[in-house]
Amino acid sequence: MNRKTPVVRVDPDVCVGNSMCRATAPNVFVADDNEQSVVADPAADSLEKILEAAANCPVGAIFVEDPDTHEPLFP
Amino acid sequence: MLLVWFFWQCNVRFAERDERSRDLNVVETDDLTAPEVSDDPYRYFGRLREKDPVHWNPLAEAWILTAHGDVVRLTRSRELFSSAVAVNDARDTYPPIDEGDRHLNDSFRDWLGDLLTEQDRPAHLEMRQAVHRWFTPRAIENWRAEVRAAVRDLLEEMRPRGRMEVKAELAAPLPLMFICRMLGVPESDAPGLRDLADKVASGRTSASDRMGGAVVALRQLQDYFSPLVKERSEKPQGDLVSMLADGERRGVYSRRQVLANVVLLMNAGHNTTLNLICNGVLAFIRAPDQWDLLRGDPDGLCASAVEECLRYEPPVTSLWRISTQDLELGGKLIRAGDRVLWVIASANRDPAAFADPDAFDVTRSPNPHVALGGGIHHCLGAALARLEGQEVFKALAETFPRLHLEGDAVEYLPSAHVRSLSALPVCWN
Repeated sequence: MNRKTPVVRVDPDVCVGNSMCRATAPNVFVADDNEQSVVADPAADSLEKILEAAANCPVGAIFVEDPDTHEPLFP
Repeated sequence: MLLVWFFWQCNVRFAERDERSRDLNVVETDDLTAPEVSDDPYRYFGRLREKDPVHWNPLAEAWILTAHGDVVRLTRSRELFSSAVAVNDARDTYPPIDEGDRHLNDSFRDWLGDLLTEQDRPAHLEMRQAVHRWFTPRAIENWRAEVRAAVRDLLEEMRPRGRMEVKAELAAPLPLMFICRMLGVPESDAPGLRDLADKVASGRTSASDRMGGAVVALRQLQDYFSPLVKERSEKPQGDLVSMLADGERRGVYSRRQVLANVVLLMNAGHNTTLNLICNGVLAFIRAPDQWDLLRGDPDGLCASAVEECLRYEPPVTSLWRISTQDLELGGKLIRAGDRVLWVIASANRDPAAFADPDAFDVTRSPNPHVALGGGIHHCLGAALARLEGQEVFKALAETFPRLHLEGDAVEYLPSAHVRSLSALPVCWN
């Protein structure tokens, strides 16, 4: 499928390791050694799933951008 | 041969006990019901953090973990600890309860066992997902205007009087009003529910007779909510009870669990924010320079001020867990099945994580406190508590140039788990 891959970032100073993002988009978000979420591959789940994961973050640690325009897609 | 093995085992056990009991020397007492623990948990647990951050407490039969780094890491490590304490812990409840109240304690533990907060993966994930989206920061943000208006109305009503009892007149009714709206409960029922919720919350204090009132109130609350749950499961509305009832329809919750968790949401949505508001107001009264700072920029500082209130005087000061595997920590061996207490009150004042930790500083940044826990059990209502706290402290700062404590002393409920003032009378003239 030909689609743009968004820029996805997890702020490590904000992430509390709730892991709801990993449950929602498990191929994009994985746990690091600190049990915080990091982005493994932003192309590995649909944009819808990534946006849902970002919205589900209880502390707003996930940021999603359009790769070309750098417009924020979330928040 | 068997006998030799048996005695060898006994020796190993006794040696372990000796090893553990030596830790006693680092604190004046291991009695977590002692007044000094409730009165100043920061001093008591702070001393533990300095001398013995992984401390074996023989009275509580538990490891007391007080370092910020340990608490942060372990809250996120769901494989290492079970949250299903009521189900997995066969030891006697601590603090002890009256011998004659054992059956009541069993009922209380039955209730605890059904709670979202006492589940482990995999059950926990689906149960949390069933209500999680109600509480996301974006979803909760939609309530801000309503909360702001409610705070304004409460303060406007009280302002001419020159005084209020913060707990009864602001900190309790406001969060309760909103959790009632969210659950779909008529607000006229709120005062009665508050009374019952307070009694259930008393199950978290140190009083040995705490179970009597708590269990009776628990039953009354479940009786109260039972018809509402039935109604919403037949005819869903856009409220939280309907969301839980939908979870039941999908087989994620049993009816009993729905009822138990409705009571949990009501209690958690009420008591914790209540303590955030009371503890924060008292912190500001004792630090007028910080009040002046907030008054200078209420919009800009209310968010970091709430974070600092959460760090400095956390509503929940400690959490029980059960270790699921052997774990070496700070040179000690925590064994699978051991009882563990994570001390938020101490982690939040750890100089290894916070500069000048005993200073109340509303501009503190970063502020990696653990008042709302972490990992999969990070407080479900965190965004709501933050929003309510922000609106309350902003409105107070905009309304009152100075708040004063009426009377000389304040009293805390006797508890090693919650930081809860009995009352907070203030005046502003």
